[in-house]
Amino acid sequence: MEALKRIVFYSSLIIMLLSYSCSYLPSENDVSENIIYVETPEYIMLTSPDTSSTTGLIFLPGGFVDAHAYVSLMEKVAQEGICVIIAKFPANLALLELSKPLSIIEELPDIDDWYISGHSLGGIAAQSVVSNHPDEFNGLIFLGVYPTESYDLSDWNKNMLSIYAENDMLSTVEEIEDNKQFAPPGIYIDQPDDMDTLQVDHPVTIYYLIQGGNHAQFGDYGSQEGDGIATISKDLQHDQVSSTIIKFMRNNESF
Amino acid sequence: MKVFNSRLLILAGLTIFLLFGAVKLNAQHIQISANYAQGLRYNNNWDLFNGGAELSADYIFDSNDLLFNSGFDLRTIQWGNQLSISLGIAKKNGDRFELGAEIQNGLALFYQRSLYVLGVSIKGSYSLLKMEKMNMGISLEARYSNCPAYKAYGQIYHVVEIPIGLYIRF
Repeated sequence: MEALKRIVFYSSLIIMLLSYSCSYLPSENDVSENIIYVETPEYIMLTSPDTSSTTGLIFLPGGFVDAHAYVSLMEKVAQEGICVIIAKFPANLALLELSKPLSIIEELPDIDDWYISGHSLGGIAAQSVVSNHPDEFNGLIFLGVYPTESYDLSDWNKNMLSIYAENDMLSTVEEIEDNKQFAPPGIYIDQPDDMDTLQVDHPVTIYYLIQGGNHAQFGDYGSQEGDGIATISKDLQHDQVSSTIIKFMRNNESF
Repeated sequence: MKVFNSRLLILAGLTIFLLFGAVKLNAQHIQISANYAQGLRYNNNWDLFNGGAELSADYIFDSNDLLFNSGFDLRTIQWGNQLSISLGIAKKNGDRFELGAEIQNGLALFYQRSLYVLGVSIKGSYSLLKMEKMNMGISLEARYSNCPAYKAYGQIYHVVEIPIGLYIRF
C-alpha cells in the first residue's frame, strides 16, 4: 500500500512537471543572408552588415516559446539598421531573469538608444523591467500583450507602441482596451505611415491593430492552444509588425 | 503521433523506474538532488554562462564498495527544458567520498515534437552530514550534453557544464 501511494505521488508529480515544462519549438532556422547572426548562451544578436547601428532593441520572447521563433520577424527589423537582441531565458520564461536586459545594455556600450519589446508574457516582463528602470529605455513595444496594474506605466515619460491582432484569443482586443489605463494615453493609427505626421505634446501609447492576425503569428512556432485562427499569412503579419516597429523607432523622438 | 510516441516512451521508462523503486530491497536509498549548472563551453567556444537549474531523483543501490544509481532529471538547458533518465556507477572512497560516472538519455521537451538528448558526466560527491537514516552532501560534476536535432533550430546544441549540487539521501 505504501509503495502504491509512492507510485501515485511521484507519477502525479512527474505528469505535472511534464505538463508545465514543454516549450513551443520554432520553425527550422533559415536566417537571411543579409543579416549578421550571432548567438551566445544569453542572446541572439541580429545586425545589418551595411550599417553600424547605435539604436538597439531588446526583445523578450513569449512564455515557453523558444527564442529562435522570433528570428524571422526580427531580422526584418535588423535589416533596417537596428541592432536586435533576442534574449534567451531559463525554461523560456523571461520572468525568471528580469536582470538580463540590463546586463545586455552593459555588455553593448556602443548602442546609445535602447528600446525594449516583448510578446505575450515577454511583454509583461518588459513592462516590469521598464517600471523598475524607466530611464534606461526610449520606448516600450508590446506585441500581443496588454499592460498590467502591477507595473503601471501610465506616468512614464516615454512613448509606447502596442501592436495587437484581431484574432488573438490570448490577448484579446477587449483586454487591450480594458487595460489601456496602465499605459500612457492612447492614439489609434490605421497604418504605420500615420506615425510620420503624428504630433503630440505628451507621452503616448500608439495602438495598431493587425486585421486578421493572431497571437502565435507574432512569432514563428505554429499554432498555440487557445489562440484564434489567423486569416492572414504569417509573413504578412510579420511584414506589418516589423514595419510598424521600424516606423515607431524612427519617429519616436519627433512625435 | 511522434509527440505521443516520445512522451509515451519516457512515461513508460519512468513507470518502470517507479515500479522498480517500489520493490523493497536491502541497502536501497532514495536521493533527491538540486543542482545549478555553471556553463563552461558551448559548441566550440569557452565561456562562463548560466547553464540552468536541475532537480533529480534517484534510487541508489549499495553493493559493497560500489553504488549504482538510476533516476530521472528535470532541468533547464540551452534548448529549454529536458527530462532525462540517468544511469550511473560510483566507487566509495572512505566513509564520505564517492567518485563515479553517469549517462543521461532523455528528451528536450517541446509541444510539437520532443528532441533526443544525451549526456555523460563524471561526478564526485562528499557527504557533509551522516545520520542513521539520512545523509546530506554536496556534489560536483563535469557534464557534456548534446541535443543533435536542435541544430536545425539554433546554433548552440551541445554544451559542457559544471553542475554543483546539494543532495539528501534517505
